[in-house]
Amino acid sequence: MSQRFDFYLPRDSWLHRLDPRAKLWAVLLAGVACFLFRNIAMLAGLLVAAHLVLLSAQVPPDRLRWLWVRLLPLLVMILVLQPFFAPGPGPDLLRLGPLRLTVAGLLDAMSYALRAATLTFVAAVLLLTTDPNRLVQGLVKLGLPYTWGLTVGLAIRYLPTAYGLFVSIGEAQQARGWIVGQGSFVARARSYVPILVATIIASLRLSDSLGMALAARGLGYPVRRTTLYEVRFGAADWVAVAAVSLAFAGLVIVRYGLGFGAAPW
Amino acid sequence: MTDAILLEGLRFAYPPLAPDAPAPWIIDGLDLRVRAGEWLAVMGASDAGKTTLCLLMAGLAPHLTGGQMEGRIVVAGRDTRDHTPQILAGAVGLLFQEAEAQLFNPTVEAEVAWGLENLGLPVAEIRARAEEMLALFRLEQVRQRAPAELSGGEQKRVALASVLAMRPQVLILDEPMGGLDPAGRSEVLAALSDLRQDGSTTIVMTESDPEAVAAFADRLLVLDEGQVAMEGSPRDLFYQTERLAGLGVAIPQMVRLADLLNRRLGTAFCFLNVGQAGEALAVHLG
Amino acid sequence: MWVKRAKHWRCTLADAILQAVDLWFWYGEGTPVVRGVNLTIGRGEFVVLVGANGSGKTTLIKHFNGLLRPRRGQVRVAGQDTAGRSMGELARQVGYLFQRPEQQIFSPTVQQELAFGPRNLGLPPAEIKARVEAALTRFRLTAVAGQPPAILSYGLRRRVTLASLAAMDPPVLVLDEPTVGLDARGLEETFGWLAGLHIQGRTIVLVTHDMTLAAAHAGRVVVLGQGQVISDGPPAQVFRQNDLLARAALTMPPVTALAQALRSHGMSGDSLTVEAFCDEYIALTEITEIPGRGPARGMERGHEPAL
Repeated sequence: MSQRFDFYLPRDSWLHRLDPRAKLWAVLLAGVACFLFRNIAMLAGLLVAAHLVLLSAQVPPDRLRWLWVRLLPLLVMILVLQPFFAPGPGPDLLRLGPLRLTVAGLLDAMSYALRAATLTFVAAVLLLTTDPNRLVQGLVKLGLPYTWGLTVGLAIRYLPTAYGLFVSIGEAQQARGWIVGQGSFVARARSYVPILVATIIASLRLSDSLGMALAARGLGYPVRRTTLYEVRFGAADWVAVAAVSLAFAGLVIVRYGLGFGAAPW
Repeated sequence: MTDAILLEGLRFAYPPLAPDAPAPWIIDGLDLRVRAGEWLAVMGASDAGKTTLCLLMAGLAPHLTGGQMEGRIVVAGRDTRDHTPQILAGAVGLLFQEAEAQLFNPTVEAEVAWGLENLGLPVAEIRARAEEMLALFRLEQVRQRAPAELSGGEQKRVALASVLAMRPQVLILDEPMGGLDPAGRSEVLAALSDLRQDGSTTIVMTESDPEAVAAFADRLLVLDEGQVAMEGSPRDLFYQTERLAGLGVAIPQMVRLADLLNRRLGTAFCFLNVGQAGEALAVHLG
Repeated sequence: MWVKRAKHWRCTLADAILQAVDLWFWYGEGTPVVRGVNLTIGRGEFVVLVGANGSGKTTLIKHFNGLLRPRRGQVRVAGQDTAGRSMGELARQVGYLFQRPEQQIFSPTVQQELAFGPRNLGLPPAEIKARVEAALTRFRLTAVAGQPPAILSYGLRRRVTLASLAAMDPPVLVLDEPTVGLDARGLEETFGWLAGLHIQGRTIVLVTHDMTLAAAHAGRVVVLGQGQVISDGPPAQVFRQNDLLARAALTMPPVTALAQALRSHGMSGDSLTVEAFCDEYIALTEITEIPGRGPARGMERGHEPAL
């Protein structure tokens, strides 16, 4: 029994029932919106909105917590390193040799960190609530060849598998006396080589077998492919698309019309 | 009756790893005829060519693997040189040894339906066949679960269901008992036994486990270095214990027992499983 | 190289080399997988650990080389608590073979792959070279020593992983389902090697589903069920308990099932191997044996080549 984590959990919520294409549109616009603003309040607002949407769609809070836990190292890294490498104007809060820490730098870093977090949870709105097969079918209906859509779906599906391989191979090498993750940064990076190489080899083998299995079950059979996971645009989807488009238009007006939101604070 | 599978003068070598590297013949001169509805087991040491034979019969070799092939293979009336594995998929089903590499859909239901979607069947037909398979392999309870989370035995059943949903004329199983715990083995044995009752599919099974072979196979083929070393009924072949040992093939424990008793007592037992052994020895004990 | 049944040479329990004391373990915040296991394995024992999937076997043995640390309770290796000892240090004493060992292969040549472990142990180059040579010979890998192990056939890759473990030569070996995917020759090779190590005094802990092999080789069988030890003793004892076997989703070797089925005819029902069954059966029938017709060399799961 593996400890896999599936992004998608089947539920019967309004969000789950939306056509994947509508959700893709929403995610696209929300993603662009993240880049329109550097204002911390606006980004935080988007982040909160994403959470509200997810929670209203019966996504269990511990899924969200799981994402936050994985996201935290990245956010901390941004918050800690960014201010030193791109100090803003203004008085120094702290000085470590040539490195300066300013309030502006900190605010900037917070903005970036929020953006990373918001992008993650916006993507989660799509991935946590959409059946992968329906997502692929949505893409197919938008014109993407099925094999491309399948590739995307497989990549997502096999991420946990590849990670599981990485972990178990790491254990195997450690059991052979190999020390991992200690010492200087260079030594630490080098310590992952036996694990990475073995993982890549094992993954390549797996993908080779998978390719054969796909062919053996008829992928590429010369007929038009049918599917159980049909997607159809309904009234709710048009409403969602309209609502998101209007909101996005509003945000654009706020940003460029009113000139608000370019600065972190 | 036409043969379901015909192999004539078959030789196959994988492409060499470097231009000047050797490319040994993995299959080195194989002739075989399998009648429709027959259940053939193929045994042999791990490098004898069993998996390669499976790939060849499904057209995956040489189309996807590359390499050089001589002779011909005709499966379900189709020559594998002229048909790609995708086209053959309609008539030939292949069950791989590793569940990981063939179960990739988000739910069991999706998995069972996937092959049928590729064949472009009408949605109603897909739904009907999927229901049939889920019921046949007792997978209704897990239909919404991810195949990757299931136990080994369940995964094999899902794989079987997915392949059989396509109603192949020929089913190829590569080590179906591989890697299963006793519970999983009994599950798969039960599923295979149902299949056997049906009798409409021709089955080729490579297997290391002699118990499964003794239970199901009509005919047994022992491969050695890409060639047929022995051929006959399981009962006939398993009792050639010395020769099988030399070929790296395991024999059912009951056969070993019978062989030992026969040598030490001069008896002529020929049982294959515990049931038969119990009867024969009870009679012998009087 | 023929070796007699390993358990006839079982060392007496001089000292405990692996110990789990009231061991509890759970992953993350999940339900406990190992629930209060008390297990002592003595130096030189050949212990087989069995149990259904999910019974906690793999989780338990991962504590013996420090892969996992107890949530509650203690694990001792050679008398010392594993807490505070690094995996690198424990790897000197406990060699561990994973379930899909061929996945760990990464080196450009077989030789380097085999040298990986000994090098990690910090052995001098001459010693490493000697060990690699010995392992190459022992597992018939000399012909492919200079080839990349990743492209070899499955059977060869498995031998490479066994040879890698052999090159580390630890006093204790823990193997997680080493027989999966092996053919008859591979099984015989592996168990010949393990039996040889056992005679030299190494301790062997083996997790398997293969009850026929367990019956033939184990001096002691420990049955795990739902994270607890539900039986611990000689194989014969375990196979006598039919309800236990059912609970742990285990099957007994065919020959044992046969012996039990013939109890009403006078068999004791305790036969663990074909040879033992034959001996008992012949004695029971009182038929005179044909002289000079001893057991033939045949290969079957669990078979021990006779002297």
